[in-house]
Amino acid sequence: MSSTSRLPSHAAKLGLLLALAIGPAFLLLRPAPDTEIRDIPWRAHKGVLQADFPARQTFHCDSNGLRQIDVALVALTPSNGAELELVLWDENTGVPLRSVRIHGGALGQTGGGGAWVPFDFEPLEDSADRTFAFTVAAVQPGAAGGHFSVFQRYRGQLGRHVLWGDRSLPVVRPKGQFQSPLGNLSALAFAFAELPLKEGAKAKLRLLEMVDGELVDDVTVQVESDIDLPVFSGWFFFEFEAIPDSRGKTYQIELDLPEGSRVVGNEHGMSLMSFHGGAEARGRVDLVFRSWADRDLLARITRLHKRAGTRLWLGAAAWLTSILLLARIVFQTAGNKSEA
Amino acid sequence: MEGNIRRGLFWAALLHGLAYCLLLPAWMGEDEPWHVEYASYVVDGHGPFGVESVSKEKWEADLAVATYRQVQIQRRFPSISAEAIEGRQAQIVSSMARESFSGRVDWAPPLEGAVEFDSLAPNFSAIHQPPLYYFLLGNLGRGLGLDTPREILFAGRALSLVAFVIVAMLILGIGRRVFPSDRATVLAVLFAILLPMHARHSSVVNNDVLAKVLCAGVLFASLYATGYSWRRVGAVLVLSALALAAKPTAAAVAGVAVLFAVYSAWGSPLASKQKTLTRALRIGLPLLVVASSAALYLGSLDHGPVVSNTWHNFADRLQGSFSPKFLLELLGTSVGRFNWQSRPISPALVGLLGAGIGVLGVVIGKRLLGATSEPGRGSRFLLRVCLLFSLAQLALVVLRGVPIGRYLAPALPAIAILVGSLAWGEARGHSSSRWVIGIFLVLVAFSSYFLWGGLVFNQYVVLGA
Repeated sequence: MSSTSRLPSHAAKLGLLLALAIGPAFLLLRPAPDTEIRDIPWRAHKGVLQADFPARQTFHCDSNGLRQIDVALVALTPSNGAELELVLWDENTGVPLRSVRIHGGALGQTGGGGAWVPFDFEPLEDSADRTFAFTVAAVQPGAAGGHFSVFQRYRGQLGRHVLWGDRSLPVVRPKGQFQSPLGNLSALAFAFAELPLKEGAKAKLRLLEMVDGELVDDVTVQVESDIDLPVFSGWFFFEFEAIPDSRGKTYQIELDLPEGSRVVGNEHGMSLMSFHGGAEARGRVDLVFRSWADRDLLARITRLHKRAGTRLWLGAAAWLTSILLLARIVFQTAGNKSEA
Repeated sequence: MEGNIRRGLFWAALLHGLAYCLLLPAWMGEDEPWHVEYASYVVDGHGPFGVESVSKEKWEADLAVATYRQVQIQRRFPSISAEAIEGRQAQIVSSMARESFSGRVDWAPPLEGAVEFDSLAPNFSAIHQPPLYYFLLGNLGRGLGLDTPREILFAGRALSLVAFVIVAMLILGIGRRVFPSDRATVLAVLFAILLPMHARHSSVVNNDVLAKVLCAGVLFASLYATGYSWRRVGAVLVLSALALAAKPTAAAVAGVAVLFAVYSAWGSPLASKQKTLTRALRIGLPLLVVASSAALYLGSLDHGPVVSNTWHNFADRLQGSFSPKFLLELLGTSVGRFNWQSRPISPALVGLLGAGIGVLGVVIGKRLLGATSEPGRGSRFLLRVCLLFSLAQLALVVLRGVPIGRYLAPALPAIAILVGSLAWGEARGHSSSRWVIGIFLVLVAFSSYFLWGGLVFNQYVVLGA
């Protein structure tokens, strides 16, 4: 190679700078949710939201300028212009901070599999490092308001899923059988056409292990769950101490429900979902949602540093050095007149 | 080519790969848990080469008392107990949960408390893969005295970084043989360094990485020297066999070995001085070895990654493979996907890149297949080998019917050489210098977007709770 090299043109240098800057610009400026509880696909709707029984969720906000909460919603019946209200609360003081109603068009896309519905409000300037709660409820009381449902996510692994059936079973002590596909069985969710809220009444679940079609004497699981909201067309969760050796085992399910309950099922039995996960996964039923805050460069960089640590900066240095080395070689080679 | 350029390319490759190693979180390479699990049994002292042949009755009896994955593993490693398999999977899943795996991979369930791979993806395993890569990684781990799956993961990533640099250096070697111009060679190497999905392989535990090195080795052995010798034929055949023992998707490399034999025995200037019978033997023997080995090998696989077991399956695959959906998915996974392919780059950018790839393909094809007198006869032949290899690899992916871009990886060295040819041939002087600078800037822009706006953004900014 000849040593007759020339420096790159200003245009090439400017092009290199722009090319280098594209990625960092996207990294820092591209919108991203502050908090996100996701479940793909959405499976477990909570049941029709009613004015007197809002669905509630707490969350921690990393950034200032909290301005929007998207809630995964599905229309269970035709809505005819019904409204929903989201109220944002300070979790520590219990003070309501923002309230926003949506109706009509924004809810129009929630049929079928559901959709993200954005509730946006005036930004909270000092939202960083605070814990909030939000509630979602119908605005119109009674049956007129109840069309929409939020989705829930259990913080564990889905095992068996018997889809929402085509009939309701009007018995208060339904029984069924279930074979666990995974170990560490820790929750079962059942589909309810109705699970009423009655003074002092609880929903009870008993699991009894079966071997060769015969019941084993001891009860494996016995749990009583408080019903905090009445359920209309939704899934209700029973959580219990994980059963480590549940893989492949068959259980008889016995439910004891308040009067007026109707479980959903099909010709083979009850619709259900099994969830698996260790003891630390208990008490983890969240609403599926995401929150957004104003663009905050410092918060973005802090989040990156917190999550990636020094690897971020070492990686950046290695990447930049490699590009500059290549640039030097390219400009030197391209400027070599002996190749022309 | 000056030594400082060669050294510069070496260091650029090393640092570029290192950047990906530093920035890609643990377990974020697709299928890493299964590859690490496979290698970990070798680290424990089990040999990966004996697959126990079992009758249908025994297979079904085993499945009645164990999971499909356990049965598969115990077929390859008969001495491993079910408890050991469960313990290893629990270790790996627990490590994945600590690294926020489910916060990063959208379809993954929360993994807290999970004790088995079936919690993530039922009946999925890497244990059916050929054993060479796991033999290497496992024995590396054994030699280093590694203990935990996480340690094996990082040893595997170090191996991938070394492989990435070796591929770049082999392309440099091939380029210097094929091109009389430094510009073209530099363009080929910088393409291989900067192409994002290939660069990301420098930090992923995956047998594709080894297949890519061996395919680059076959091209290097085929193209670097002129003339025919049995030693070179042997080297090409052995490297081809090793590539197939690393990953069945490297099957196209067998064609390179045959083309090499044909050219060096028949087409090269030196060959015309040989007797016809000698030349026929020089083609026929390697051809026989390649064909019989490939048939035996592919027949021995549990499921054919390239050739279907039945005509019906073959027709099904073909029908699916020529659909726009398949081709778009193949393009999308070739140019950029993040977080176990759960997050794509924008469709508009994919479309733009697809159009760019199409234009470059047409220019390269026209230049190589058209009537041009500029490149020497030998070099033009070598470039055509690269073109055929690349097209054959694409055909294999289409025949397989699975639209995953990394299955094209074995042809990466050949594709890089073809890109290098843009700066050579009819494009001379200032024109070729514009090609080099233009492609370099486009690659830097894409690399910048991919790494920072894509990989780092999706790994560290968007993290589900």
